[in-house]
Parts: sequence; C-alpha cells; structure tokens
Amino acid sequence: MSASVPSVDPTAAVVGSLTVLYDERCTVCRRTAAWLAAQDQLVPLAFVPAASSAARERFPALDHSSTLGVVTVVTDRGLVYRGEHAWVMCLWCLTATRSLALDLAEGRRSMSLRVVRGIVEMLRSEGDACTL
Amino acid sequence: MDLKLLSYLLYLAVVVPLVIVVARTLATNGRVFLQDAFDGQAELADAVNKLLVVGFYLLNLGWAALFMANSRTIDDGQEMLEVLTTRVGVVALILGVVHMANVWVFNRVRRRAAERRIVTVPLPPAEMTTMAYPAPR
Repeated sequence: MSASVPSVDPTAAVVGSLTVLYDERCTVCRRTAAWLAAQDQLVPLAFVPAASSAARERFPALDHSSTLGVVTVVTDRGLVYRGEHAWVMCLWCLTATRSLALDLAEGRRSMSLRVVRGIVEMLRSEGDACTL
Repeated sequence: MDLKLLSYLLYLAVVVPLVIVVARTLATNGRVFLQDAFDGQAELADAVNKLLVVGFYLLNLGWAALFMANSRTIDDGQEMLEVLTTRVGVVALILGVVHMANVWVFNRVRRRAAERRIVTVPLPPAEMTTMAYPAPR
C-alpha cells in the first residue's frame, strides 16, 4: 500500500533513506538505535541524536523540543513520522521486519501491537524520562 | 494370486503415479512463483524449485512406502478393495496437505519479494519538513 501523502510532489513518497532522531540520554533508546543499526536494511538508516546541533543543522524547520519526548524519523524527502508511526517506519526499513511493518501499517496484527505497547509501558516506568 | 499381494501391487500402481503427477504439477507451476520471487533469475529459481520437488518426492514416496504394509487378512475381492481405497484415500489426503503447504511456501516467498520491492512509504506522514542539505542516500 502506498499511502496518500500531503504533498504536490508524488515522488516525495519514495524513501531513499531514513534519519532516526533518538534520545541520546536514554539507555533504551541508545540500545534500540544500536540494534536497528546492526540489522540488515532495505532502506539505509541514519542516526542523529534528537535536539542535537547536528539534528538542528539537518532539519532547521523541525520542532526539535518535541523530538526528545517522542521518537521522530524523517525520510530523505522530508516526510516526518512520530511515535508509533516512526517505529513502523523503522521496521519497514529492515529486511527482516518489512512484512510486519506493512501488516502494522494496514491495521493487521493489532494483538501483537497491544503486546508491544504493554512492554513499552513497562520499560517506561523503569525510570527513563523518554517516552520511546 | 494372493489377494494381499494384489492389493499391494494395486496400491503401488495408484500411489506412485499420483505422487509423480502432484510433484510435476508443483514443479511446473511453482516455477512461475519462484521466478517472480527471485527477480527473474531463472537459474536460481529452477535450482530452488528442484530442491523443493526432490524433498516432496522423498517425503511422500517414503511415507507411502511405509504405509503400504497391512496386517489385516484379506479373504475376498470386496475386502481387498476396501483396504485399498482406504489406504489410497489417506495417501491422497496427506499429499493434498503437503501440496497445499508447498503452495503456501511458494506464495509467501513471492509475497516477501514483492514487499521488498516497495519504495514508497506505508503510512501518511505527520508533517513535512525541509532539509538544510540532502540526507545520505
């Protein structure tokens, strides 16, 4: 499924690479970023610490204060995804989890999604301020 | 001739061609699926296809051979036919299940390949932003 994109340019929906803005201060986020980086990628992932000078330099128009609270990813054509959608985009970029990401994007596997939400909720209460 | 021996011979005469027909169907039609999955690399597709078909033959002929022997005494033609049809029926059902499993595998391989070829986003974005310089491709 190619989703409708609020853009005049239909080629904006094509993804050449994905930049992940992760919270460098949070252990879970750093580990997750390292895990993502180590996976076999269909679409290359780049990792930039959220709200860092590198991130501000690369995306001058983005609201960087919000990227510390919610994981944010940006495609090479400037499409922004936050929170759960950002996760689905990351999974979509990996060879092993593309099918899963397409299922999630189309609303299938809602049971597994609920399980993941529960796990995230548990991790979150362990002290890190980050909301994943 | 001993009725039991006759039932065995008839069993083999039905089951062996049945396995061959199903395996051939699988091979000729599975080829199309696999070629699509392997981006038209015909040689690779044929190799995978052959490996799958050999597995199919071994599995089904092996199981059908083990299933042939029968301790029931056969006194007349009616009993022989009953035993024969029951056995052939079970073999056909299991062949059907294995065949369906194979088709499912072929289709999954093909679908995975199609999914890997997608280049456009699966979700609508929350917003658009501009970039100071192009991100790495």
